[in-house]
Amino acid sequence: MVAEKKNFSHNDLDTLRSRVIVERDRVTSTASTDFPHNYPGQNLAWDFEKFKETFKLKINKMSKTEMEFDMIGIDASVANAFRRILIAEVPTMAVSNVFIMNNTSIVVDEVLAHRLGLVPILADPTKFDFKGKEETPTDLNTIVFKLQASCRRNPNAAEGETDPLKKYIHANVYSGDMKWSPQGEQAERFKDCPIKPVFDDIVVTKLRPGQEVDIEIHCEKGLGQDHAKWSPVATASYRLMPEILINGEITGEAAVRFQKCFPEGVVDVVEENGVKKAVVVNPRKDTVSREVLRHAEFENKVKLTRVRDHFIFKIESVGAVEPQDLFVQAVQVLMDKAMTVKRSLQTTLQSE
Amino acid sequence: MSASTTNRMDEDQIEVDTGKVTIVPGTMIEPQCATFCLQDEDHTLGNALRWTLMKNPEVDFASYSIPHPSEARTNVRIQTSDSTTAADAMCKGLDDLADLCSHVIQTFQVELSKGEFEYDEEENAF
Repeated sequence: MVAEKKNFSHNDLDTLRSRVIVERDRVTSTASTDFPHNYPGQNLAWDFEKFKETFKLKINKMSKTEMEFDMIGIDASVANAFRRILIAEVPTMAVSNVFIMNNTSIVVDEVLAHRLGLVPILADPTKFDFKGKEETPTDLNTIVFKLQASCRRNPNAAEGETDPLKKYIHANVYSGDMKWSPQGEQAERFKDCPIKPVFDDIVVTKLRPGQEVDIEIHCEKGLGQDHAKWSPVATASYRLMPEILINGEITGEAAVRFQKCFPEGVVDVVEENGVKKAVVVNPRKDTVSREVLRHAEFENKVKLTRVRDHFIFKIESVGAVEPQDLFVQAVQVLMDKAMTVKRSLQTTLQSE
Repeated sequence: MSASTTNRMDEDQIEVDTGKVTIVPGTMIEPQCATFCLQDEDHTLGNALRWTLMKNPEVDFASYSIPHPSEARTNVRIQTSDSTTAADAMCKGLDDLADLCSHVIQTFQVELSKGEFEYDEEENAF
């Protein structure tokens, strides 16, 4: 923490401790330093009760596929762990084995199998077990679909019709054509929520008269770590809460110019005693493009920072599992990892 | 996975994979310092664990490294003051991480049940 000679410095300890400083050409103070013995007079040791008091979680938006929420009072390493687990270590069901009986479409076998693998499957992964490589498929670890389609000319099409969807019957093979074939007790277990692909309208392959596909598909449980088809999220990401501090006041026409440097809704120009003044109303909407720092007139009048322990998380689920379940599962995975390592450590120590 | 063996803990009947955590030979010259090798772990657990270890005032040095990106292995080095041992500090760090996770889940579920958020119904109704 070297004191730097700047016109408008971010020297104060509070800023360095709690904010990531965004300057015109670099970002500094990124590492978290609130560990014991770093700051005299501060007890920064881990205190669960203190954590419980300061930790805040606020859900902002929710839908069937997306969730945006804020986590305040947690460290970047843990937030990142959640993000990594959401992408790679929460299990889902995806197409794993494709048995091609007949494929005369233009799309070659392996490419067709690859495309089928990427089709998201609407099945609750917690109801299935992992299937090992050598294990036989059972109704507890495999989902079976049949994809059968053949194309022929449409006798009712107009003469000179060019649209292949009208000229031929079944010219496009969609993911909706994958028919679930319930095995064993699956029909009973899933009668309230039949298993199907999440989306019906994914074009898997295209056919012309005389071509057909006859495929049996096996889906298994897996992790995103193994192959991205098993990742339950379109993506999971977070950003830090931006903060804009104005040094002094920005008035008059400069206030309007200042407002234009930020996305709409971040800065408002209010009239106070006939004088226009710039006021920061919603820093959350800011994309931190640092446009304002490109202008010499504002360079020393504004401080752009990010709050280091305020994470704006966004989870976009592919659709198989709802985002709120995904987050709970991800945190559970981290907890299980810690406990597995602890048990193993204790066993290793005992045997020493 | 070839080097690991499994044990059964009597009370819980949970399988413990003893190959998961090993102590790198020669690093535990006294109980206060050790390098633990975690099999099949990466930055996900490594960085989070390092943070909880650093939060422990008894720990003088805590760090993690991944010897080679092609191998899923993480080394965690801990050096503590004389009042505790490296293994105890490791257990405390793991416990603290688990406590943190359980609190996050609880808080999240409380927030969910409160329902004070904008719910977008029409988006992607399938």
